[in-house]
Amino acid sequence: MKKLLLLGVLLFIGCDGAIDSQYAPEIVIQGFIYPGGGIDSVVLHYTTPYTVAYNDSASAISNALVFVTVDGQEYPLQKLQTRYGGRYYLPKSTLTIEGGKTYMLTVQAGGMTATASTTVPMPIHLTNRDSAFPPGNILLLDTNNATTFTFDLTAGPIDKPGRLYMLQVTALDTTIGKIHTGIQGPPVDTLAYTRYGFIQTAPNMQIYSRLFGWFGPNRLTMLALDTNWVDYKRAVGYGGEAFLPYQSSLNHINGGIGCWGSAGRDTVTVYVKLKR
Amino acid sequence: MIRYFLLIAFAALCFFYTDFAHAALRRVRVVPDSTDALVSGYVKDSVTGETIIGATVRVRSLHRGVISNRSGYYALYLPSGEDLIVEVSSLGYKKFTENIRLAESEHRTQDILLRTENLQGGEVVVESDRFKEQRESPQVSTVSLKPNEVRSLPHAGEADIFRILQLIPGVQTVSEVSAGLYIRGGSPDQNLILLDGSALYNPNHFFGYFSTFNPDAIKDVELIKGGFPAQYGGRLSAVLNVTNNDGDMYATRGTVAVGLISSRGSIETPLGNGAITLSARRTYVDAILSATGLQKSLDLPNYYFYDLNGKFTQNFGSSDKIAVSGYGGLDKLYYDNGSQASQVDIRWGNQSGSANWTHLFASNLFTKFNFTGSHYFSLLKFGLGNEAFSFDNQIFDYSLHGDLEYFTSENNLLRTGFQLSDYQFLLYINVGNNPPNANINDKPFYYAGYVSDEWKPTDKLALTPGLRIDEISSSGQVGVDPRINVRYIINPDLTVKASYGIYHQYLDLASNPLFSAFDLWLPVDSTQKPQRAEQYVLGISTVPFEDFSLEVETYYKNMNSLVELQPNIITGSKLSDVFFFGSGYSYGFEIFLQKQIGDWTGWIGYSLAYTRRKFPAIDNDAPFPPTYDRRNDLNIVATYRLNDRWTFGSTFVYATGQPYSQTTALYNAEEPDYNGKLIPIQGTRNGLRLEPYHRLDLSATYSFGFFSDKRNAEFDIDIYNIYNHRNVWFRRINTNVTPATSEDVRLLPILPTFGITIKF
Repeated sequence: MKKLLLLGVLLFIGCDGAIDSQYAPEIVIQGFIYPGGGIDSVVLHYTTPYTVAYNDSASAISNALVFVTVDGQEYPLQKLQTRYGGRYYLPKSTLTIEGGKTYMLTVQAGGMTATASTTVPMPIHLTNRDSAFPPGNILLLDTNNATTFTFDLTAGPIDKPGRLYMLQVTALDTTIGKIHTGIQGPPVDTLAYTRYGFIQTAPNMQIYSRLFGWFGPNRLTMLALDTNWVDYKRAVGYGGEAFLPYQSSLNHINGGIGCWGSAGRDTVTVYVKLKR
Repeated sequence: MIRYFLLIAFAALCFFYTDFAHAALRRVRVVPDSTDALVSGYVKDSVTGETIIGATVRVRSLHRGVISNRSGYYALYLPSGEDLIVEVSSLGYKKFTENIRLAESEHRTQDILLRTENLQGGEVVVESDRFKEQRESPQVSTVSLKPNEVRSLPHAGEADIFRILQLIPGVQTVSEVSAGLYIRGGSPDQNLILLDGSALYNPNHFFGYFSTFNPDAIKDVELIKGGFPAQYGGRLSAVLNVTNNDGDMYATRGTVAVGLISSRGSIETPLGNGAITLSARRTYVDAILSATGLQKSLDLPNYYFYDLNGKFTQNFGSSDKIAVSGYGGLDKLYYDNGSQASQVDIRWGNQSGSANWTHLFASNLFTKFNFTGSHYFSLLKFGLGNEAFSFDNQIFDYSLHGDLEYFTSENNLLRTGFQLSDYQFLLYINVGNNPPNANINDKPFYYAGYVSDEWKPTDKLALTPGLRIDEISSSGQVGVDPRINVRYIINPDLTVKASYGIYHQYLDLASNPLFSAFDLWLPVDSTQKPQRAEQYVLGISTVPFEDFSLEVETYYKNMNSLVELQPNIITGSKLSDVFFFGSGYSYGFEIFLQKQIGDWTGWIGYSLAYTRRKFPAIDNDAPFPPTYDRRNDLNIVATYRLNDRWTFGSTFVYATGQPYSQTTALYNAEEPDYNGKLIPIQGTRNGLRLEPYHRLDLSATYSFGFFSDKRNAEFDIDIYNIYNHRNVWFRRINTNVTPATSEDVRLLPILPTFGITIKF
C-alpha cells in the first residue's frame, strides 16, 4: 500500500501545468522598397484572433504614426486614400531610395511601437535582355511538353557575396487565357496574377513554364533581395500549405511581425503564346 | 591530438606491466596470484552453435563470475588445485554445471554449450542468476531484448524492435507513426545505432513507422539508455547495439512469415567451419493496391520497401573467427500520371557492411577488429525534366574499429581501442538547371581512442573508470570524455549504481519529428562547437518480490551546442545557415519492474521526465519543452502462456500529451502585386499540451504443426488500439475556412492484423 501511495504521489508531482498562449494584438508591417523609387506602399494591420473571420479593412491600422529614418533624418509617411485603409506612402519627390543605405521604419499605433531596418541592395540590370529571348520576346509554350520551354535570364552586378535572387512574374493581361500545364509544382497560387520563383543563389535564372499562370504579356522582374525579404519568404513558407505557421524565429521586426524589405530590381516584358 | 591519446593509452598499458604496479595492485587483488588459473572460451547454443551474448559464468562458492561479451567470449580466473563447480546460465537456456579442477597457472580453453528450454516456473534458479548478474553488472541503464520477446508482443502488423524499445521506461516517442527513439530527453540523432558494428543513419521504413531491423535476422539487442562506457562515442544520449545471427553451424533452418503489410523469410545453413545466413523482407502494399485497382482509381503513388541481411561466419581454430555481414534496405515512393511536370520520385535507405575479425592473442587477451562501411541516402525529385526540384543527401561512412579486452585478473578487465572513420557528406539541392541552392561535399575524418578499466577492488565495489578522446577534422575541436560507473552491493538483493560521463557528438541531424524520411545529416564545422552532454545517473537494482526484478533510476543530463533546424532553408554552405544553436537539459526518474519467469511475464515501466531546450532565436531564449517531452509515461507489458499452443500478449501505454504551439492569431501575408494568404501566428513555443495518449493492444498466438509433428508454425492475430481511442497526432489550423478552425489530425483507429510464421 505504501508503494502504491508513493507511486500516486509521484504521478501527482508529474502533472504538468499548461502555459497560457493568449491572443495579444501585434502590428503587422508589409513594406518593400527599391533603389531609385519612393516608398510606394507600407501596409499596416493588426493581427486577428484566429477564431474571428479575417477582414482586411477591419484589421487595417488607419491611425498610425509612420516614419522612415535615413542619414539621421526622419521622413513621416502619408496615408494613402484607398478603400482598404492601412496604406502609407512617401513620394519619390520627397525621398528617393538609394542602394547601400539603411532605412529604419518606425510605426506607432495602439500604444505599441514596431521598428525595423533594411539596408537596400544596389540596383541590378538584366545583362542578356536582348539575347535571352526570341525576336519580339514572344515565348511559345507547348503545354503537352512544357519541359521544352526554358530560357535563361542573367542580371548583374553582384553587389555582395551571398546575395540571394528571385524572379517575380506578373501577368499584365488576364483576358487572353490561363495556362494549364497539369499539376502545378511550387510556387502554386492559381488565383494570383503574380507568381514568385524559388529564391536562388545567383542572378542567372532559368525561366520555366510553371512561373507563368497566364498567356499574353507578362512582366519578369529579377529581384536582388535583402535579408529581411529572404527571411520573410522563409517565415511564411513560400505560400505552401495553409496550416504552416509564421516562423517567428525568422522575424526581423521589433515589436511586430511582417516584412520591411528591399531589393534591387530590373524588369523585362515577354509575351507567352500557345504553340499550335 | 590522437598522439596524446596514444601516449595516454600506452602509458596506461605500461602501468599495468610495471613491477611497481603489480606490487601495488596485488595488495588490492588486481593482479592475480601466481596460483590463479584461467578458464576461457565461448558460450554457445548447443543446437545451432550460435554464440550467446550476456551469459553468466560463475563459481558460486567463490562469489566470482563474469558475463560473456558481445562475441560470446568469457574468461574467468579461478584458483588452481581446487574442486569447483562452474555454473553457466542465460535466459531461455538450461543451466549448465560442470566440476572443474585447474592446475597451477593453467589456461584452459573450454567452450560451453547451453541447451534451450521453454521457460516455466521450474527455471526460477536460472532466472534468479540472470537477475543477480544484471544487478551486479557495473553498467547502468542497460536493457537487453531477444527476438522472441519482440515477436511475442502485439505489433500492429509487423514485429519491430523499436516498437518494443519504446515501451521501456526512459524511451519516449512522438507518435505511433514514428519509430524514433527519444531517450532521456535526447533526440534520435543522439543515439548511436549499430548493426554488427556498423553505424546506421535513419534506420526506418515506411516514413518512420517501422525500423529497418528484421526480427528474424537478429540475435540480440542491447540498449544503453545512458552512462554508456568509453568504448562508445560520437553521440550524446544512448547506444543501441544490434547483433545479427551468425547462423546455424550444424543444420539448415529457415523461417517464412506472411503478414498483412509485408512478408519476410530467412535461411541459415552450415558452410565450411561456420555458417551463412540470409534474410529478406518486402512490403506488398504496392502489389495489393495495384491488384485491387485502388492505385489507379484513387490516383495513389507507388510505394514499397525491402531489406536484405546476410552474414557469413567462419571459425579458424579456437583463436580466430571472421564474420562478414551486410545489410541493404530501400524505401521508394514513385508517382507518375503521365505528366512530366507531376512526377515524384523519393528514395531513401541504408546500405552497410562489416568485416569482423576476432582474435585471441592469449586466452585472457581478446581482440576484435571491425571494418565497416555504411551508406545512407535520401533522394527526392519531383517534376522531372528540366524543371525538376532535386534533393540529394548522402553519407558514406568507412570506419575501422579495434577493441582489446584484457582480463588481467578475476577482478580486473582492461578495455582499450580506437576508431578511425572516413566520412563523406553530400547535400545537393537545386531547381531545374539553376545554380544549386546547396552543394555541400564535406569529407571529414573522425578518430577516437579510449581506455577503460572494470575493476572490482572488493566483492561489493566495482568501478569502471574510462576516458575517450575524439575529434573530427571539420571542427578541429577535441573531445575529452572522462566517464565512470560505480556499483556497490549493499546486500545480495540490493545494489546501488551510479554513473557520470561527458559525451560529445560531431554529427547534426535535421529532421521532421512527425515522420522521418528526409533526414539530413551534417558534420559540425567551424561555425559550431560539437554537441556536448554531461550525464549523471543514480539507481538501485533490487528484488521486491520473488521472481521479480526492480530497477529504479534517476538521471540528470545537461546538453550544449544543441541544434534546431531553421525553417524553410533556402541556401546553406555552413551549419549556421541551417541550424539555430542552443542548449538544454533533462532529468527524470524511472521505475522498471520486470517479471521474466513463469507463465506470466512482462514489465511495468514508469518514467517521470522533464526536458527543456533553450535557443536564443526561439522565444528569446525562454526554455521550452520539445515535442517529445512526456511528463508521465506508463507502459504495462504482459505475456501469458496458457499452454503449449496458446500465448497471449498485451501492451498498454499511457503518456502525458505532447506539447504543441497554440495558434493565437492570423494575418494576411502580402508581397508586392500579391494579394497574400492567411498565416497562423503561434503563441509560446510548445506552450500547451495535447490530450493524454493511451492505447491498449492485444495479441494471441497459436502454435501448430505445419505438415509436421512438431509445432513449427504460429498463427498470430493482433488487435491494435482495442478500445478504438483515436489519439491526436498533431493539431493544426485550417485557414481555408472562415473563420479558421483548429483541427486535430488523429492517429489510427482499432486495427486487427494477422500473420503466419512457419519454421523449417
